[in-house]
Amino acid sequence: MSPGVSRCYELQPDPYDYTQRRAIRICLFVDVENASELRGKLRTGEIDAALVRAELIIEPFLFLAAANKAVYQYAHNRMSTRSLAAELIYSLSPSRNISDSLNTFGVAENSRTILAAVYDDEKGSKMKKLAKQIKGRAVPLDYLKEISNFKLIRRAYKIYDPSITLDNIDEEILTRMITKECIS
Amino acid sequence: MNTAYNSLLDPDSLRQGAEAKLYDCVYLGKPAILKERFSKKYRHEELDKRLNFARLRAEIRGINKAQQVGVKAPAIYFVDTNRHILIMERVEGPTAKDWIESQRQRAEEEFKVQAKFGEVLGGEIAKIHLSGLIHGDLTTSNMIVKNGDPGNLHLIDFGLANSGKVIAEDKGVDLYVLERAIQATHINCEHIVDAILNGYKSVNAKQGEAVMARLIAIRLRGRKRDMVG
Repeated sequence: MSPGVSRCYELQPDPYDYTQRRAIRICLFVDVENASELRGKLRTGEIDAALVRAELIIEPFLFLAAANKAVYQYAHNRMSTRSLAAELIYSLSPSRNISDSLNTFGVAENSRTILAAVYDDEKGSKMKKLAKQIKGRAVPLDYLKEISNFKLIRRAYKIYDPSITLDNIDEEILTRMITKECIS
Repeated sequence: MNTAYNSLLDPDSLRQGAEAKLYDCVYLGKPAILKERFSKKYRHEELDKRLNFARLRAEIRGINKAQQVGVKAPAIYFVDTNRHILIMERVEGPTAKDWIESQRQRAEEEFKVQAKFGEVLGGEIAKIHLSGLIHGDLTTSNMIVKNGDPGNLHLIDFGLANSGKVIAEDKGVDLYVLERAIQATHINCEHIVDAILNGYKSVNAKQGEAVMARLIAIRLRGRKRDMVG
């Protein structure tokens, strides 16, 4: 994996509080061959990272918003899941069912594209270690728009209104995933 | 090599209403608005907490529902239910109020453009009403004409929104409040009100008829219902 392919973003669990800062490093992998092996390693705890089905992510900002929500929940001791990585995947989902969320948005047995994220990896060493275990090609994050699958996204978020198109679906998705605890 | 997106709060951008403070901010690299419902010291503590929370929830639900039926409303980026903070998409453009006033200069086209605006607005209101959502505070200040394009209208401030059991009466009151607001803020704008009602009726004839009938009754007696019997 060449440096510069992955990207590091700064997160702030509390929008007011500049003293609490965290970072997340994101990298996109394509042509992944060992998805089911990776799933096993996630389950045993050998990999501590969030591996997400890249087809379901329409733009990086959505992913960051979910990541920030996860650190916010963590900072306030209100996580719904046991690890920060799982919390991130859960935050992406519009559903409040944890196992459903992990199954839909987490890496699947036959996944070929994966969006990998590790927390607090400013220097990139954790991502390098992770990349060694993924049999695939790391590509710049800009490729995401070619990978994301509108149809699948529609189904995952249950968005069927015909007036919602590729241009405004991100707003709807954001609101749905960020506010799922507040409605109903 | 790596871009660090971060969150910034611009303390000079404070705007305050009766309910909340608004700041401009940047959230993970995107321009955003932070809305904080502050607690009011003159209210009973418990009541204050409940009201604040209820309005935050109403706002979230309202935006959610509106977006689901294809009515544009700012996306929510972040919620803090403890401190009643909401971070939302920043929709660039004038409020409908400023936009209508700015249209006054161009007398010739004015009518056509404003009529189009009215029809779009009426249609959007009809759509949210059809889904069982009442905005609760429809004024021309609570709408943003994105980039000055009357076809791209965003509704904001769903803090008093109400959904669930909704009858024609509630919808009529929602429209009546808007009608009065327009009459009070804009001079010689009856044609906008007419256009709004036309736009409203064009979305769903059945709802339109029922609500128009109520609206006539409401106009005669005002917003509050007579409590007789």
